[in-house]
Amino acid sequence: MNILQQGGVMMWPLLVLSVAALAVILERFVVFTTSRFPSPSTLDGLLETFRTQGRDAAALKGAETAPAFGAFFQACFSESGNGREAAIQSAGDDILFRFNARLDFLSTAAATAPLMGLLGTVLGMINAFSRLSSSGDVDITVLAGGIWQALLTTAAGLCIAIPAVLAHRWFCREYDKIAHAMQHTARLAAIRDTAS
Amino acid sequence: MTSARTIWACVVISLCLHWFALERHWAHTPEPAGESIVIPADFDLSVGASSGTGLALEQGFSPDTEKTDHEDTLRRLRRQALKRFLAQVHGAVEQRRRPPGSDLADLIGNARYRFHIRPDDTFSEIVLLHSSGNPKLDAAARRAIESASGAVERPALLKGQSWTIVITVKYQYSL
Repeated sequence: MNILQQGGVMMWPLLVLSVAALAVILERFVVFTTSRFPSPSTLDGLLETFRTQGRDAAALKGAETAPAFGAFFQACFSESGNGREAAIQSAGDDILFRFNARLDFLSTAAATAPLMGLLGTVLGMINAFSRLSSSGDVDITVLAGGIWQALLTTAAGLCIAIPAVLAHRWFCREYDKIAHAMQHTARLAAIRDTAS
Repeated sequence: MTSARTIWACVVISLCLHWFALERHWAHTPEPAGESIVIPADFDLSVGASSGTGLALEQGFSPDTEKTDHEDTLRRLRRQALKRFLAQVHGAVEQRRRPPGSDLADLIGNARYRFHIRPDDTFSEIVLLHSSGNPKLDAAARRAIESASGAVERPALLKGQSWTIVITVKYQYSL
């Protein structure tokens, strides 16, 4: 018998949640690993370009180096004025919003999956004890069979939650690093702009 | 690749991974409780005594209660009779596991055998499933099973049936 049928009715929502959570983990992994913020040495090169070749060349080089952060570099190396701070803020918020997408779902899945598994176990235990009482005879196989099947949903819930929590924490850490690097770059660009 | 394409590609990959995972047999499928019966190593007990209710599981059931279904009653009686019979078979093997003059007192080990109980109460197809690690103990256990063949007569309720039994013969020094 299939493990889905053995686990009971709660296995189906858990399966849907598991498919969605794994898809989000894969997608976020692709996003975070392919859209890395330039390293400090690359940033130094950008600032040097800004100093020697001007704003447009630095913005173009920034967009080529890290396409996902093109708008941010465009704003950083734009003409200083009243709208520059707001443009940097806006570009940064847009980029961070894209990186933050679906992380809420991942944390919700990590929190919900064990509860759904627990609900499946409770339903399975109710079913097992109901069968035991209706059989009129104390048969350990009825009880044991019901319990091990009921516990399948808890195991499934934990199998979803543990990778989801780990992935969520790693993505949050990467998000924080990107946010910090962008703030740092914006400050550096402002300092260099003032100096030049 | 756009964000929408990426997420849909990941959903497809996720579905494929789940499909592969679900195709595997993670859970142990319970075997039908038909022919093959495993007798635990400590299956001695009160069953051999003629106390009527033997195993603890049956003690939760009171025969005085409103049990009117004859089929249920017959099935329960058969199950009790089978348990009692198996306990007697186990006891018979245990009694014969140390033949007179054997030098097994300084050895320890558990030999697990499978054999078939035929309708005439004799044993056949005796197969060693798990060695005790000592050929002397394995041979002594086999001899005990062979000599217990036909020694226990089954209750009339179980006439005509046959079972495959898995039994563990335990040797623990002179105990």
